[in-house]
Amino acid sequence: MLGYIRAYKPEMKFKDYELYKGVYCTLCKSLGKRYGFIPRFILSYDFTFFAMVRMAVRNRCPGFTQSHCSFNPAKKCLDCNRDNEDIAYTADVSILMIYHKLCDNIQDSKFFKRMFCRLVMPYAKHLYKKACRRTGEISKVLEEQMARQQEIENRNGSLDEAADPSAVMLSKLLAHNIECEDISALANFGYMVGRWVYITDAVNDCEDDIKDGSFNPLKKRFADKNFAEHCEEMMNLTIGEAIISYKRLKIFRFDDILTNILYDGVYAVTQKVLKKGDAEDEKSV
Amino acid sequence: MRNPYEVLGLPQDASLDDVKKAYRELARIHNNDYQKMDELNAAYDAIVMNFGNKNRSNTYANTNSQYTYNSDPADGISEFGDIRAKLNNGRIDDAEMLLDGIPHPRRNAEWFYLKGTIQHRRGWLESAAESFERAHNMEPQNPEYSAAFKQLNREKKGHYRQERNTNQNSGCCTPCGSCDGCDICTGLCCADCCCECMGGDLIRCC
Repeated sequence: MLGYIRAYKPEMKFKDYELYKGVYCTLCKSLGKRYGFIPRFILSYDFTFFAMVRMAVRNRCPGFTQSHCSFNPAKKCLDCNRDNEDIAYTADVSILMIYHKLCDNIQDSKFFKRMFCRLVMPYAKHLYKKACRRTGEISKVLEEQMARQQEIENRNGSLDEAADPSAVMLSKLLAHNIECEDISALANFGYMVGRWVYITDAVNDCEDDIKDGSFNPLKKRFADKNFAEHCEEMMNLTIGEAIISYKRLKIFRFDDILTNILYDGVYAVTQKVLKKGDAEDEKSV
Repeated sequence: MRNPYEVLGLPQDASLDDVKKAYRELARIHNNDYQKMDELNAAYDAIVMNFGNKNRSNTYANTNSQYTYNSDPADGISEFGDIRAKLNNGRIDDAEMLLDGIPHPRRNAEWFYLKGTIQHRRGWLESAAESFERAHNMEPQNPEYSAAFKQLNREKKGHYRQERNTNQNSGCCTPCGSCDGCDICTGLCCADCCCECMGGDLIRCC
């Protein structure tokens, strides 16, 4: 989860924007409360989406109240119920994901970045253990999938294979411990979104990976002249399947926001990733 | 599950040809409706498989030898009935194991279609699209394979956004660009009337 799934602000309504920011703020506060000050900076909008999907499929109101941002007390923001379990769960999950991301970085990034990751590792490990205790068996699933990812990378697997662990991961995380009418649709939705994130990241990093010689499932196709087209097709196909599953779900709230993210946000990111350099000004809301 | 004959709108004793015809007709209409298509496919498969079973028991009774698969899937009798049954029951792993056990010379269009279906269910979309394409190229006239192939192709081209845009625009006034057969006819009628007013004629018969 690397900040690819986010809302597209120009198409958003003000009320939706407030809610979206509200969930983000609550997550940030929850991270602060559960894990201390520093992890707050790692929060990305992907996790906001994750929390919102989980709240949207439950038939229970999250309940918003007016509150203040703790970084900038002059700024007002909406605040979810503090004891909202989805928010707490998302905060735990984000710690787990960041830890695995760090491990990944240590393995295959350049010298300075690697040194930095090594430096923060003990602290991250401490947080990770805490998060593992809170999430229980689901942290095992993450470890399993990360190991699978490594194995697939070692034998240079295809795009479908390489995307599978990330996709399964998100699918399991999303459908974990939730009462939802169509759990298979939710799991499938998670799978497709996870797969989309993986492919998008692979497309984004393809050039760098070729330079560094690290693994990338799209490398084989990079020389093709219809490379960009193929990437776009795969991204479209994946998000199209995600939307088919989304339509099967019964959504109780946030439908406009989630639709905005799935259609417009994803489209904007697709365009940005494919035509690097253009659309630099499109920052996340 | 509903009675498969009911789903296709047929009597219980309908022949295989009728079933095929009805399925194709309905599949054409509900091409875009994912859920309905699933239901139709399930019903069609259930019926076709039963026919296959009948045949199978007959063969056994008549010749008392090993059953030989019907080699022409266009006949409507699925060559891989047992695999389709497993797929319908959601036993994807079993279905894939059986399918992979089939030797290369017998891997026909249907084999690739089923392989694609399994990959699609798994979410392995790149290989699914390739398998469907292969099945479609081997038997371009088969409606089942071409439907699957075209569906994924549409999605590749960003169908999800187009679909949404048309939904949004279908309010009270559609912007120009939507010109169907009716519009053309009315346009021609109008032009004809105008011409006739001026003493000319555009369409001679009216």
